[in-house]
This record gives sequence, structure tokens and C-alpha cells, in this order.
Amino acid sequence: MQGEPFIPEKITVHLGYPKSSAENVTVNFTDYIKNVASSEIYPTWPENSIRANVYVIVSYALNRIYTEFYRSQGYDFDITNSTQYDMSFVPGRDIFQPISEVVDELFNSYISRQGSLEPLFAVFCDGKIVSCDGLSQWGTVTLANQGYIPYDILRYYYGDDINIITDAPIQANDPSYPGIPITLGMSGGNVSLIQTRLNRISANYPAIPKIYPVNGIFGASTENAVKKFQEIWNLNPTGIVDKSTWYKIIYIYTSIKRLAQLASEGLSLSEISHQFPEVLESGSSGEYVRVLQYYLAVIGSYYERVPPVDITGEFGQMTVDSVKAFQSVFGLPQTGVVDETTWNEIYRAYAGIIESVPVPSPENNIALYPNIVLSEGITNEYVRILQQYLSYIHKTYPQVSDVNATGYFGPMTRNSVISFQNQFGLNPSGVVSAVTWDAIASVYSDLKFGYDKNPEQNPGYTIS
Amino acid sequence: MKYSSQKEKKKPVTQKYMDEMMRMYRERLPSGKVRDNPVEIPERDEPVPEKENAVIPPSENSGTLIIEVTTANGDIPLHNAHITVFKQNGDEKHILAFLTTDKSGKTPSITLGAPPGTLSLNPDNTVKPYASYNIYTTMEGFYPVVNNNVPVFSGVSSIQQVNMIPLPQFMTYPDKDIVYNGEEPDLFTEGG
Repeated sequence: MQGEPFIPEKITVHLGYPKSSAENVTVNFTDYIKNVASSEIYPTWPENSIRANVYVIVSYALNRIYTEFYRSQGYDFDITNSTQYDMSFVPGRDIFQPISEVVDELFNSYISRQGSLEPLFAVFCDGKIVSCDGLSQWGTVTLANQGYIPYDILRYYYGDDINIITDAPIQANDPSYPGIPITLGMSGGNVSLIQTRLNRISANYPAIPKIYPVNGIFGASTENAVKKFQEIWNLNPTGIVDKSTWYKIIYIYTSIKRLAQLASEGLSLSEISHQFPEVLESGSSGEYVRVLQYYLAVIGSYYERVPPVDITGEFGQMTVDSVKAFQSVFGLPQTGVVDETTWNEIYRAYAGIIESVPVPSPENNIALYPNIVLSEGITNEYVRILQQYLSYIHKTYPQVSDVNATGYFGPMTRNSVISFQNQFGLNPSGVVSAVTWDAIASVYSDLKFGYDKNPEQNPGYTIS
Repeated sequence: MKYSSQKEKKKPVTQKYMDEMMRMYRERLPSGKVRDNPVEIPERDEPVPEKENAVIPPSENSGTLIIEVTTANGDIPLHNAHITVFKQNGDEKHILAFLTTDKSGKTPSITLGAPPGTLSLNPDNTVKPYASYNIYTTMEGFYPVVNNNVPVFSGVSSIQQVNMIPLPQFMTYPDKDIVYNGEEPDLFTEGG
């Protein structure tokens, strides 16, 4: 990794010694840290001890990722769960509430040497059976009981020339936590963001009441939705969007949208035959590789032992890794080559998934990109749809200028597109290609269908 | 094969329901054995909490457990998943609770016995400072999940996330359980 360290969304953990043929699992970074902390220390320990240990665990993990320690040696994982090499991680274990709360707060903070941005390779040991030149886990209990704060505990073990970097950037399209808690009575762009995100999340988690109106003003309905969200995700249900709540909303929203996006892409595949086409392997390319990658992407969203794969149409290393992982999970020889048996197993796993629980997708109600670039001078139905979407978005985001739905892409439409692109972090070209269309449609759907509620969902009044 | 959440309404734990759970349970013991004699169900002083948000605060010598069931690695909650919480003593299994998940995929919080919390604060302690439980989760159309050796500490809430995987096409009944075995914490070695 070059440049400033950032917090990855996921981490791939090898379940054994580096050279062993064990499986990998790919999990959310915060879930990984919670699992490690719950495996390495006791949840009954004083809070400052838990906090010091969490800083250490985060720093250690980020160091492995930032230095690409295993990947640069040709391995296909970021870290192992062997305690001889790295930290304990027990797949599928329970986690403890006191540890969960600390990790949700500290997951994007880490220790570094003064003058460096690199996350410290924070060595540690239990401190009773084993002593080491680093943090002693049992020692932190003693120090915390003596009144040491986490920073002083860390200085005790790692020296005075350390900093705690707080609020490292995370890997997401949404902005970072604004630095102050967002509460009842506040207003602004951050409030609109929370409102649209929570409304979209509530399509999957209907116990979260819909927020109406989405107007950037933090009222009672926003507070109720925040509280319910916090209850579901084991955060302190204050109704106040603090740092932990902000990032949890963003992470859950990002993950849910990605799944829905993937589900909607499947609609265009329904015409392609799922019969085994031909042997596919490293170096293959074309439409069948795309279909294969799509199946693997869906499977990877449901099986944590199958890593994510990009849908490129080119059968490269990512695809090989994903195929091998799939073959391992299903007891097939791990060749990385998709013969007829592997193809059929992949298809059956994929088909079983899409038959199971429908992915809640309000996005299915919006128009797909028409596959032509829309720019000034064009007149057609898609321009009219585009203008309708922008006009609707303008009602919540006044910085996106309003436009009449005439079907003609004139200077006003161009300005509206530019204002949208500026508002949502896209290149302000004034031209609508696939990326801009998808972004406009996505924001429109979050706003419009965020209001659609299930029968048993609050509030009880009709939303028009 | 879509799961039907609307069919089953919340109802008190009836004998018929418990018998059904016992039958399913007997067929799929994690150890692979099939029991002929019924599993002992201890007398309970208080009913298994069923109300949503029935939070029982942890107290001395007990902790709490809540189970969260989802699919799609957490993106989709599973409503009406069936959960059995039990404790294994040698060959005997004691069932402690039957639970179902709400529409957020969560069970109510249940209280479970645990050793005194002070044990885990002492580095020289040689007595196991936590209690171990087992969880069995089923949902029609998904592979059942077994969580063995789920630790519960006194005064602490444990959260068990269960991610369920849909069965492949044409598989009506699962051909296996997905088993997760908890491990003893590095900090603790039995006998010191």
C-alpha cells in the first residue's frame, strides 16, 4: 500500500500456518478485529485495558496490510490466524458486547512511530506464560487498575515516541465522520445523508421506521430510526449519530447497496444459457467468463470462504483464487480450472441462492442505463427520465439545480448534471455516461423508494 | 424454494413444538450419534422470554446471550429462524432455550449461568473462567449451523452472529450441518 494508510472494508484471513493448505475467509475488518479481541483477551477486563489491546490489534492488522507482508510473498491472504505468526481468530465465534463497543469506536485508529504514518507492528504476548518486547496483555490489566489511560499503557510498552492516529480514512464512497455528533435539531447535508442511508437500510431491515420527510432536518422520525438502527447493531441506542453510529450506517449501507446492485445485474443474464459452455481457465476471456464471474460474485456474497471477484470478462488471478476456494468448499479438486463438473456445481450453488430469500431491491423500479452517452443537443425519452430524476433529487438536495422534463438536453440540463456530479463526487463533465447515470438513478431510488414501506412498518400514515 | 415467514405466528412454546425440535435435533446431532433416550430438559423457574426486547440484565454469576441470524454475510436478516441453546455435559445434552428470530434476525436476550467474573481478572487462576454453550440454528432452505463451545462470561453480553447459506438448487434437505467449534482462549490453560 502506498500513501496514507486507510482502513480496508474487508480482510482475508488464512486459517492456518502461512504455507499450509488451509482455507481463507474474507470478513469485514471491524468484525475481524472484534473476533481477534474476543479471542485474545477477556471481556471482563477494565475498559482502558480493552482499549489499549484494541489499538494494538488494529495496528498489527493494518501493518500486515499496509506492508503487504503476505501478499508480497505471493500468498493470497492478508494475515493468518496462527498465533505463532499472527493473532488468534476463531471463525464463527461469538463476540462480547464490551469489546464490540470499543472496536466500533476505535477501528480506524492505530499506533505509529512519531514522524511515520506506517501502522506500528505492535508485538504483544500474554505476559504470564510468555514475555516479549511489546505489550503484555495481563500487564495492561494491572496498569489500567493503577489508573493508566490507554495512551500511557501503550507508551509503557512501546516507548514515548509513539502517536495514536485517530480517524484514519476508510475505504468507502461516503464522507468521513464530520467530527461532532449529529443530534436532534441539527440540519444540513450530513443529516440528509443519514436519512437517505437509513431509509435504504430499512428496505432490508423493516424494523427501522421510515424517515419522512427527507429534508435534511433531524427531527423525531430521524431520531427514532437512528435509535432502532443502534439497537439492531448493538450500539448504545441514544438516537445520537456519534462516530460509531456514523461509520456503522455507512458500512451497512455500502454492503446492502452492493448486494442489490449485483442482484439487479443478474436480470440482464437471464437470457444467457446456464449450460456448461466450454472449459474456462486462466487466460480465457469473453462472455462466458463474465457469466462465471457473476455467479462467483453472488456466491462470494453468501459464502465467506469464497473471496470477491471483479466481473471483467478476463480470467485472471482473482478468478483463479475464487474458483479454487469454491472447489475447496464443495470438495472438488482445487485446480482453478472450470470444467463441466465445477461449472454445474457453481451454477447449482448460485441458483440455490437466488431462489432462497429475495434481495430487497427498491432499485428494481428504476430505469437501466440506456447504453448511449447523453449529452447536450440530444432529444429522447431517456433525457426526459434523466430530467425527472434530477428534478426529484433537487427537492432534497437544492444544490442540484432543478430542470424541466422536456426530453431535450439543453444548457439547463447540462448545468443540472454538473451540479449533481459536483454534489456527489463525480467528474463534473456535464455528460451522462454509465457511471453518472447509475449514480443519479441510485440517489433517485434511495429518495423515492426509501418512502415505500412494508405493511407492518412504522409510521402509520400514508406517504405520497 | 422460498422460505415462508408469514406462515408461522409467534406462539407460546407448546409441547408439540418442543417435540418437533427434539425430533429434528435427534436426527442431526453434531457428534453424528443418534440418541434413543430423550434428552433431559431441566425444570425452569421462569418461562423462556419470547417478547421482543426482553432484555435481562446480567448479574453475578450469569451472562447473557443474543443470537443474530442473517444470510448474505449479514446483509439480509432471517425472520423465524429456529434456535436451540443447549449445554453439553459429556454425552448428555441439556436444552436451555428454544428461540425464534424477529424480523431483524435477532432473538431476545437470554440469561445463562457463568462462573464468577473475578476468575478472569486473575492471571494465576486455574479454573475455567467462563461457561460453554452450544447453539443449533435451522431455517428452511438453508444449511443448519452448529456453534460449539460458545463462551459466556459473568456480567457480559455475548453476541452470536449466525450467517446462513442457502441450499444449492434441487437440494430439498441439507446434506450436512455447518459446524463452528469455539476454541479455548489463549489466556487460559486448564490446570494452569
